[in-house]
Order: sequence, then C-alpha cells, then structure tokens
Amino acid sequence: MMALPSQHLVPGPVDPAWVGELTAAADGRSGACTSFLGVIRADKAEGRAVARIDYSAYAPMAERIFGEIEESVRGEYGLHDIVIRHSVGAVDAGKASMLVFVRAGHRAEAFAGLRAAVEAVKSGAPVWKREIFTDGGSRWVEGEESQGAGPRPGATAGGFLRNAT
Amino acid sequence: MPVRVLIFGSLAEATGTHRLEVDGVADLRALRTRLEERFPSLAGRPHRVALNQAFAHGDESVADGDEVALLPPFAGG
Repeated sequence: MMALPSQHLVPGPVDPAWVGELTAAADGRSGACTSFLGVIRADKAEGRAVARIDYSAYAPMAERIFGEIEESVRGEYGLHDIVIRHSVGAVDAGKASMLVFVRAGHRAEAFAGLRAAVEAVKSGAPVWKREIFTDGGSRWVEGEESQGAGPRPGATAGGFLRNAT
Repeated sequence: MPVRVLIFGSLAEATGTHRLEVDGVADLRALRTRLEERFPSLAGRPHRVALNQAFAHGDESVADGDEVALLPPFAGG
C-alpha cells in the first residue's frame, strides 16, 4: 500500500486504503471522520461500455485551487482537517479517481463540509476527463450537470464564457 | 519573449495543439483574435481563460513571458 501522497494530484487511481490511514491519524477531539470516494462506473454510452477514464489537468492551477477549496471549506464548516486527492492519467472502471476526507467535531459539519468540497472539486478545478470505451473509442465529458445543490466554495468566476463574438 | 499559450482537453484536440507561443499581442482580446484566425475550430467553443494561472476576464494586458491557458468546461471527479 502506497502512503498518502503529499500532492493533490496523484498519478493513476486513488487508493481507498488512504481513508484508513487518514482515519487512524485522527486525534481525540474529532468525533466525526467521513469521506467520499468517486469511483469510475462502467457506464454504457452509445451502446459501448466505459473501460477507463483518462484525466488531464492544468496541474499548477489545479493544485492551487484544491488547496483553496480545502482552506475555504475548512473555515466555513469549522473542520479539523480536510484532504483532497484527485487522479491524473488513466483510471480503470471500478477504481477510485477522487477522495475527499474530512474530520470534524460532530457529524453535521462533517457531512456538510464533505458535500460542499465534493461539489467544488467536481466543478471548480481545471481537470478534464476522456472516457475510453471497451471498443477503443473515446469521448470528452464536459460540463457535467452537478448532482448536488450545495454551496460551492472554490467554484469561482461564474459560468463559462462562450467564445462567440 | 512571447506569450506562452497552453491549450487543454477537447480544445487541444480540436486545435491539434497543446502549447504554442504568440508574439506581438498586447492583450487577451488581441490574442484571442490571433488564435481564432489560426484555429477556426476555437470559435464558439465554450471555455474560460486563465492568465498566469488565475481566471481572466478576457481583456487584460499581456506581457512577454506571461502564460495564458485555454480551459474547456471542467469535469473533475
């Protein structure tokens, strides 16, 4: 088992064992540890199944924004700790590509902070994904509808500019 | 020293380019015009622009050595 990497962006899949590592490091004042693992679904699209996703990122900007999301959610929800990790490169279906771990005094702020951070990671950082199908074909996935209605710290700068004159 | 332009995700595929350097542009508006002349496939594709790794409004001045990135809609997670 690889120890939790220090950078937010990790090459290849996220190791679910990092959740155990983070939980074991908890101190005596935190009553709630909770985490979210985003896992690649083998969805069917246009009659073919997703084999893996290739993630790419504007790495220095993504690192900074993940750090800003951690700081902003930690402050807003009064968390004791928050850790974000996200894959770059290829991640097979069934493997995890993102981790958000939070530690807080009580479950209410832990769950709320976790939700807010997950939404911000999915929509607020310069990361892109390309689905690779079992038949070798592929497609970009962009502007995915957010499944959450929670607040989005870190998702700055409003909507996307349409580049038409 | 020119402006360095980085292109990501589907925009890199559409233009066939990840990275290029552009000389003689004073601001992001002029840079955009220049890029759209060179890569007509950019026009009409939604994206944000970052200047030196911070979101830009689109009319900021640029100087030699600046880094401009074209960012299609994010899709993390």
